[in-house]
Amino acid sequence: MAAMIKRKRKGFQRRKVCPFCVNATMIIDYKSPEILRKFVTERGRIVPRRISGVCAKHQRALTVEIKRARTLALLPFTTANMIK
Amino acid sequence: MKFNKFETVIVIRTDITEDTIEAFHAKVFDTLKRLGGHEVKFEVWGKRKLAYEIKKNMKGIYIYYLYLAPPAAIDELERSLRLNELVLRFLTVHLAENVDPDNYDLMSEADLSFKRMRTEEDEAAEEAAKPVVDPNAKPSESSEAKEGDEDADEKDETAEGSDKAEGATDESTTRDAE
Repeated sequence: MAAMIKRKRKGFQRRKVCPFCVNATMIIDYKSPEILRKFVTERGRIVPRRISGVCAKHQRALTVEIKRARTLALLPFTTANMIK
Repeated sequence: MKFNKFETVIVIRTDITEDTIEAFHAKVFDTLKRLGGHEVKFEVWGKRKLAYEIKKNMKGIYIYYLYLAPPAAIDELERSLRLNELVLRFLTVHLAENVDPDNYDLMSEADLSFKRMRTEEDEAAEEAAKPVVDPNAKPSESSEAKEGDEDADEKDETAEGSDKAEGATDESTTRDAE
């Protein structure tokens, strides 16, 4: 089964590890939008866990903080009405 | 009396003078005191570009408060913020419950060096420090998420709702099935 999953991907790719579990100094907080920005696409969508490799616990925290940052205009809801 | 720990970030307009900011702070401070709040920390983060336009404003001044207050005080504080025309946005976050203000160690918060977000001044300082930086010279190990998103953007700029990432995986699975 594991081999099949591996085959699906183009070439070999190592299982990603959650960056927040590895690095304890990286705190998920709406007050540090520079960190949150890495987990948001260029158009402002929250990157799914299967892409970013974030663990479930941290993805939950991340979602809340990204939404908080959005209300304070620290992160965009969408880039459609972005200030250039 | 029951006290909870809160933090509030307030975004105010930029087309005002220093004195107005001072006056605004005094007002918020008074409101907090009147409602039985104990202010622990106050900080002006400074001017920052907004991610989107709010009431025709492109920039905002961010002010941060950390305080202990009875739960009922928040309603009143937020009501007064809503009425204030200087205020563009505010966000109150409930941090802890049942904090005793008499035994609360204010110093533990005083040197709390949380990651403050970058403001215009910081950006200006950085710009001055390293003037020639090629924005296109990104490391090539960009994630597949990013690449997928870029591709989708090129295809259709207007299709907002379509889930690009999902679409990409669907494609790969159907290919595998064949």
